[in-house]
Amino acid sequence: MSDMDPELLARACAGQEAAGAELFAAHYPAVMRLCLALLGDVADAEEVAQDSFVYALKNIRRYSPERSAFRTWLCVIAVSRCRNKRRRRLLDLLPLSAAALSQAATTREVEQALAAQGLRTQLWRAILDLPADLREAVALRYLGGLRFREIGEVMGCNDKTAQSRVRLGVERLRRVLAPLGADVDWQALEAAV
Amino acid sequence: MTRPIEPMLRGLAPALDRVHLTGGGWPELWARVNAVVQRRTPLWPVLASGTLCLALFLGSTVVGVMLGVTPTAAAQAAPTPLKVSQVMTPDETQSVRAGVAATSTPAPVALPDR
Repeated sequence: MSDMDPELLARACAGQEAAGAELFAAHYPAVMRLCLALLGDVADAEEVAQDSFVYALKNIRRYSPERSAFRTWLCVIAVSRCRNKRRRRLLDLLPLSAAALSQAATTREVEQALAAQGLRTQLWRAILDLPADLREAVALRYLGGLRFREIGEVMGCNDKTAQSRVRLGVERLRRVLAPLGADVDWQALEAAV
Repeated sequence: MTRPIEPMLRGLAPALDRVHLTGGGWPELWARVNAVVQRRTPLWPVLASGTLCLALFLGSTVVGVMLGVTPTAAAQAAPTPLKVSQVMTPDETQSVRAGVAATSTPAPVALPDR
């Protein structure tokens, strides 16, 4: 089930920096994309992604290759930290106006980078507007590159529920983006199961 | 004409990579993470607080034993007996003789001589 070379895992368990660097380079982009989609804020996403790697590398002996792929394990850690971060944000004592301004600034930062690429700005906004569970499912599928079974493992549900959450999320995105000429390719979605 | 959403979602991944990798490069990111991974949790605060607690416990016990005020000693001490006075005060004696109850207890009645 593991997506990782056993020798690399053994070297990482032994605390070899080179092995850690190899794992970091291979998985950091996917984890960062996932955090970015779940938090919508570059600074928060960077903090959570790096914190997830620190935890994973310090506790790599707890990872069991028989139970899940390494990327799935990393996603479990990252998603759990993103949920905690969102919860802490709700309890944040910042004045609402300051929090809203800060959020708007970081969202604009991402939007500006995506602006040159047609519909992507609207798509990004639509993803951030999805309910938390649908956003997690869509982000894990398309930004994390996980299969439905793996999404189920991360979200604590079975693969059918994971598939249905992805479908619901994509359907909502389609509804939002339909006026702009976007539609969903259901055949491609079914073929990906 | 409609545009399928799936390719757009997949195309979002490389676009997002360009957003977050514009600032620092890989070596800088890895150096930051690795520095935290390699940092060992310092043991001295645990040892210092343990030593302090032990010293306080032993110190207070020794001082208590020396002064004899340990909880054990207090519990073992014999209870002080109640002091009961069976001697009447002169006023009480007078009132008894006069047949007047000076206190709440009734005055003793003298038995007739036979």
